[in-house]
Amino acid sequence: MTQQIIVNSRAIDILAVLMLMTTIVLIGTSRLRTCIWAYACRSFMLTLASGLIAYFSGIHHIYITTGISLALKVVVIPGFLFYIVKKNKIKKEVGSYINYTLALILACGIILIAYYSTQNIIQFENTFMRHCLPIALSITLLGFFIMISRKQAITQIIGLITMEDGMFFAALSTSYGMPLIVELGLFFDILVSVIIMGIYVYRIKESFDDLDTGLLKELRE
Amino acid sequence: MIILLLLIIPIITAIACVFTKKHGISKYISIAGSFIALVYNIYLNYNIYTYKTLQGFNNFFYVDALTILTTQIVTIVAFAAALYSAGYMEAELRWGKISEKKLQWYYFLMHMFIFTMLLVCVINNLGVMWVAIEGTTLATTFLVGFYNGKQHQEAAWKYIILCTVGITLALFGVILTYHSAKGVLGEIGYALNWSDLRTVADKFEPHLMKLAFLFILVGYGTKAGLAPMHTWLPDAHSQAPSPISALFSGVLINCSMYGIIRYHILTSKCVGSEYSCTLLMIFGLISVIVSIPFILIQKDYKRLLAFSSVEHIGFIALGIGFGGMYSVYGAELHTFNHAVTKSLLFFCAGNLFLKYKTTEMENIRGAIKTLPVTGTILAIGVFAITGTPPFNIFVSKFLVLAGGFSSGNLFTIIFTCILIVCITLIFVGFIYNMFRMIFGTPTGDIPKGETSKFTTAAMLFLLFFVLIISFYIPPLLREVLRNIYDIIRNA
Amino acid sequence: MTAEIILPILQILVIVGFSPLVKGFINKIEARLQCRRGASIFQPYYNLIKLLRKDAVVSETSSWIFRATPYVTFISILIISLLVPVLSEQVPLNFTGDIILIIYLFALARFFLVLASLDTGSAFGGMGGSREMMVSSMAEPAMILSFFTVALTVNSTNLCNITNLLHNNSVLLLNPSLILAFAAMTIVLIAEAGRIPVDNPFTHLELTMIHEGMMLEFSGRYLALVEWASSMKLLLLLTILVNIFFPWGIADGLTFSGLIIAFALYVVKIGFFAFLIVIVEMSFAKLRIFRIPNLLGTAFILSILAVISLYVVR
Repeated sequence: MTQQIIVNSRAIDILAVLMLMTTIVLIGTSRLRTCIWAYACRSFMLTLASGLIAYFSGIHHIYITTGISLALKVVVIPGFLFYIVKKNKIKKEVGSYINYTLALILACGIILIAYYSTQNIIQFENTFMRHCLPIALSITLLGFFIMISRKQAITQIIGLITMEDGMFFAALSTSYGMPLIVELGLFFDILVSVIIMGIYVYRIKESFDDLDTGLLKELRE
Repeated sequence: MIILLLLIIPIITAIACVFTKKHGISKYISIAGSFIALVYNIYLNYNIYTYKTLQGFNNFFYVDALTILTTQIVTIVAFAAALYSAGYMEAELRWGKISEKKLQWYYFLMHMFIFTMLLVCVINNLGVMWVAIEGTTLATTFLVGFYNGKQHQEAAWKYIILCTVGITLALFGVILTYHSAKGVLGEIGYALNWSDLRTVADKFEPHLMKLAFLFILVGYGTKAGLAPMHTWLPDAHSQAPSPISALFSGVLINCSMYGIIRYHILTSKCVGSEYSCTLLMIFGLISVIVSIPFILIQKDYKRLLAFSSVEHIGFIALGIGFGGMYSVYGAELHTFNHAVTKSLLFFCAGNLFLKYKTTEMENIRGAIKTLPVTGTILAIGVFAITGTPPFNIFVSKFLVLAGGFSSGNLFTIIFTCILIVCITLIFVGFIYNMFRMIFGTPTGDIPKGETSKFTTAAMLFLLFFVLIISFYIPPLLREVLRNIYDIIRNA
Repeated sequence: MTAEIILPILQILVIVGFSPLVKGFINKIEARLQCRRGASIFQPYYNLIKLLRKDAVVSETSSWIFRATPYVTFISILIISLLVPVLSEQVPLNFTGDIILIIYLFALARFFLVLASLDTGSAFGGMGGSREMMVSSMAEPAMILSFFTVALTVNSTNLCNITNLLHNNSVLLLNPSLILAFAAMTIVLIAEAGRIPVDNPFTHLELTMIHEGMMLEFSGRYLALVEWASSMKLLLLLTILVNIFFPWGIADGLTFSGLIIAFALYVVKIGFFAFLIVIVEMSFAKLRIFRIPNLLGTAFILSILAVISLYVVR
């Protein structure tokens, strides 16, 4: 392996680790605005990583996905989330079913599980971008964890887009992204689902006067 | 090009409906649009009969027997739902529950929903199929939360969250498939085309394909309503308006099952059919067993029908999982039968709701006196859905069970025995709950008479299919089912 | 021979001599950013000179521990200053200690300080001591694991070897696990040095004190030694962080020009990190005591991930 390839792959690995750190911040914080900022930072790192992968590998359609990712995930979606927070006048902090220290320790456990279970797959591949697949899988699992341990509706939305981010990064690092049309469909889908969920946050606030999804227990059995 | 036309028809209908302000006109547009789609689909059916497969747009679309069966189901139920909506929405408009402006969006979303389901069936690229399945979730969320009550919003929120989570897990499966395919086919645009992957699937890495299938099954299974990922299904199906519930129960879960079957074929080619068949059987059996207690103690008739959908989709999964000729044939026939019968039942439920204005079974008595046609059809439908001879569901269930017994596998036979016990319990639950509603004296001052001509027409249209398949399977259908078995078997 | 004498003297001069200046610099920058004039940069020196001239007042109920602690603290931190690469890759006490000794020497200093705070029997001292133990019980594992990550990258715990290898082979620094270790170390730095958001060094409310609470009873030369030791601790932690993770500019041998360049770059790097500490102090509010485990838990998790990811991806 030449020096240049090592430096390239290490650079992308470093961005992956920064994404992981922002996701940990997302789990450990109790303030809603910090959550949204952490998401925006992570999306920015993801865009940088995508741009670097496009530059190093020379595959040009990844540049298009980088551009759309920058516009959508760094600007539009966090902006939209801030808009929802402001419109619904959400003042309550994020509620959680388990306290934050325990959540952090469980997050650590989840990341270790992700590293352990992708060990076999990494060893079969070449030594390029080795940290990326475990980190992508752990971001997905952490998103899943955020969704099931948080009560507030907006944090559940953030958990959902975290999952999709993790998948996007997994696709990017293992097979240099999916065919362009699939990527475009994926972005469109994320955008529309965030908008629809934003509208539903508004409706839930109107019906239930509170964004605690623990209150959604009208329908039983 | 001819395939593209099938997709354009619902889009045009949707756009035409959203710009029409009066309900009186838009209901006719919607009925006309879905009728044209139905007729066009029958024409495509004849094409498949002659040519076996159809491809379009440089292999972007791919239509074979499995596709055409599913699209036929979609168009038949869509036409019935459009007919029924005409009457049902008119009644709700008169009741004052919704406004005309909302109805514009209703028809728009309904036809976009039909468009996305047709897209799922005809597309060749597995990634775009994923996008289309996610598209069905997005198109229907507003339909689930159509009314403004608390339980409707809760059902819609649960629906979108659970389905999007499930489908994101399925995305991982798609990524793994693409990764394996790239390793074999190289870096090209059609590495995700199902028709190409089917020929080279045996060169994929087994470990990755097994993992991919597991994720796909869990992901698309969430959308299909397989337990234990079915928790959104009773809420969403019961809180949506009745024609939309019919579309959900009849066709949406069939489309998700279609996605699972496509991957089942790929995985069987790669690692042999043991793995995927076992998984399908396990999930199917869990679905059937999980639905039993909820059917027995149910108080709301729409939720009862929704749990029955869970049971039937488990049955279909079991049929595919058993693997023999009879089982697969029966399972595919079951997709058709269940679609028409369940939609029929949801239409009857809608009529009951409009007449009695309640969803609790306790408060409804004497349906056969206040709604003679609906009451009779409801009785026939309940017998049909539980698998009573000589109705259509009995035919398909019998085929699946016969296939289960005739396979030499011990586990299959045990599963089949458990299945028979389950079916009996469900029959008891259904008959007890539903027949209390049909007979007896009507409580209070309920005016007699049917809701509208449109609803009756829709129900008779579906009843026609139920009765026809009970006694005679048309040669076209028989040919399609045989072709599907060949496709699945040739893996 | 002369090299062996000059280097330790230089290192002691730099660390002991410059640590009050670093503290003064931090205070001055912070004051300026708060739109005040602030005290002069040399104010900590004036404070130390003043304190050394004064009488020490000792409580009657305290034992020999109280009188010994300032010396023990100061001397153990002084020894650490000889174990850390400041200007050159060659570390004076290299033959007798590595990272693990450094960690234990920090622990020794802390241990005696806590004992002394309990020794006088005052309530505030006891509170400060117990809080300090709580903070360090969570910060120390994070520190150890971060150090181990670095050690595992170069397969040695000897600081001389570590700096040498990282200086010559800078590609090793691009390891993602080192980024995680660096993040953990910055949080630990803030905790151990007693800055906001863990502990406010300017607070006058005894109920909120952690480090200041332990020093409440000291006066005169004892207070001078303990304060000097705490500013040396801050500079030492900064030095470790800077010279391990950003080792560019360290002198290879003992050439005069090399040492001058190393000193200049050292001043620049320490100044930059001191400025970052000020920015962090200005941006966050002090955390409530029961929230500190969250922050340190994050550091701990980051350091565990650093070690594990290094192992898995080997």
